[in-house]
Amino acid sequence: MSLVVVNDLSKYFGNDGDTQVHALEHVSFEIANGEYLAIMGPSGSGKSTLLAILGAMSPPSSGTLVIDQIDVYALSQEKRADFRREYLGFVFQQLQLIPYLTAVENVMLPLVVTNHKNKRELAATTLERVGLGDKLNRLPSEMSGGEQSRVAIARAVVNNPPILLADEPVGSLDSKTGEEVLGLFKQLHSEGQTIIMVTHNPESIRDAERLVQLKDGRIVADLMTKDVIPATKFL
Amino acid sequence: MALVVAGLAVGVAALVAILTIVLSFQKGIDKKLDTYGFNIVIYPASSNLSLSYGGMTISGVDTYEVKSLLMADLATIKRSHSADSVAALSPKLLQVVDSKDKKALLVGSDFNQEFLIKKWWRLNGSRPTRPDELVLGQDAAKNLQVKAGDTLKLSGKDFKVAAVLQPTGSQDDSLIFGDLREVQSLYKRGGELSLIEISAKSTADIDAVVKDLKKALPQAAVSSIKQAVQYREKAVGSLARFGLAITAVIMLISGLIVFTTMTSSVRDRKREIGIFRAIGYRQSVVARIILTETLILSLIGGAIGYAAGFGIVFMLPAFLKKFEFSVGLNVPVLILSIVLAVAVGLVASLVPALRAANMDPADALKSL
Repeated sequence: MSLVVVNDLSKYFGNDGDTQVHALEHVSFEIANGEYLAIMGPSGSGKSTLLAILGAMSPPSSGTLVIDQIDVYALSQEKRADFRREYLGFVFQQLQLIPYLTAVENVMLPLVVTNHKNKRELAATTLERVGLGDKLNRLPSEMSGGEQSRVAIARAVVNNPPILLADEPVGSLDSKTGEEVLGLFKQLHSEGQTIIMVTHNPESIRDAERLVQLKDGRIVADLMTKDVIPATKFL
Repeated sequence: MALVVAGLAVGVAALVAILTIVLSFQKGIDKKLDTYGFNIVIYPASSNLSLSYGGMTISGVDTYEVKSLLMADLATIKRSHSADSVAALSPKLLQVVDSKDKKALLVGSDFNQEFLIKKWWRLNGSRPTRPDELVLGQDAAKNLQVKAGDTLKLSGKDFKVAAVLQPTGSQDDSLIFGDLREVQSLYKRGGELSLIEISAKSTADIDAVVKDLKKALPQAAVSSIKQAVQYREKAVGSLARFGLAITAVIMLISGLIVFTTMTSSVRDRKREIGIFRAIGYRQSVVARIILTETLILSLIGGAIGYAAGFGIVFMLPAFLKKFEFSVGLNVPVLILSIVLAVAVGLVASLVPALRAANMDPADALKSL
């Protein structure tokens, strides 16, 4: 059974008429548990809109999103917040670390509103998992770009969420640091993590198993990457 | 954020300063009430003259033409229902006298009762033991140029100045106190009294005693010192209302400062709030974060304001200092300061907190 079922999602911005923007149109696909999916497309293709909907943050204009048999947008706002906390981990494009919190405090953020015991220990262990066990008390400003990315990833997985959502995770990194981050995603995937990554960079999808390509708000391709990797170089 | 603390601190400082001043005035009135010693005065019901005595205007004390109270009235009081509520009973005869070509007011009184009522009297000299001995107020002694041990001639008779009062700050400073019976006989006013001062055992009994004595002595006027004090209380009440109105305006401005600061803070931290919402913080949690922040800032603002309020009182012009401001830890005022700062802070940041809670995480994080 699929972990994520996207059924006929459409998203429109603006009022009816000529000014209305159709960001997504009748998008449907499914994601299996443990799958590593990349969503690609040029700017304005609707990939960020799709990620916001998959992230339970932006209700679609029509269609449904079912995750683990839960109709996400049938939930109330507060229940949806609980759902995000329980099911989803986010790695944002700009990382979005809180500048005045240390690495371990940033990673603890999702735990603050949970009943987890030993929140600090769990955050520290997660940071060790991403190779930052010796930099727990550093502020983001005292860390390199790669290290900040690791903190962001640790924060996304500290809750052990079934799904990891990443928005251009290597977009702002140099190639060496980007490699490190992609390596970390690969490692998490090998541990059974379901990953949904939005990117416009063909290099980033190297380790993904499946590629969904968007254009003008519609799916134009849904492929296994092992079949298309050479071709993606020309995307 | 410093603006939130400063805004609330200013409001609370104003409140504390005003409250301290008003409470000190109030305390001053209470102290004054205590130092009167007596709290009920009985005097003739009608007269053409009026006399200010002990801070009250007493009509009917005719110092020349006495149709006034009599010694027998003392016995009436002692027989009344209120006798048990009376701690001291001091009859007085007032007589204007000439001495050394100067006019003065002689008060014939029962020294035993007088000393009982006026416990704060401090003497330079000794307590009178004989009828021909006097006690002079500081100003009276200065005016008549006498000191303890001197002789003062009144109506042709020599009196010994047994003691001069140390300054009392009251009307007593300008009076001459003599033995009641001696004054009565010297001025041929045997059995007459100008007024009777009564000290009730408890201030709670005053109204009942006044009512009872009015019934027992229908020809006399019975007045409670409370009435005189009420005027002062009224004045302090007006000051308090004026001060509180100013404080209310300042607190309103403080509230607006908190509102604008928190609104701009929420706007500035849109992304941060977006992260909280994205990673699963409920709207109520986000609102609580903002309100907790305000709570902490308000507590700091309240505490600083409390200290600053006392600072303001300290810096007040010297002439106000004579009210002996009770500067120090006043727990009720401290609690009021903190509660007010917190209340204003929380109310003012309610709207920004709700805005933060209702922020769309996808909109807040433009990258998604």
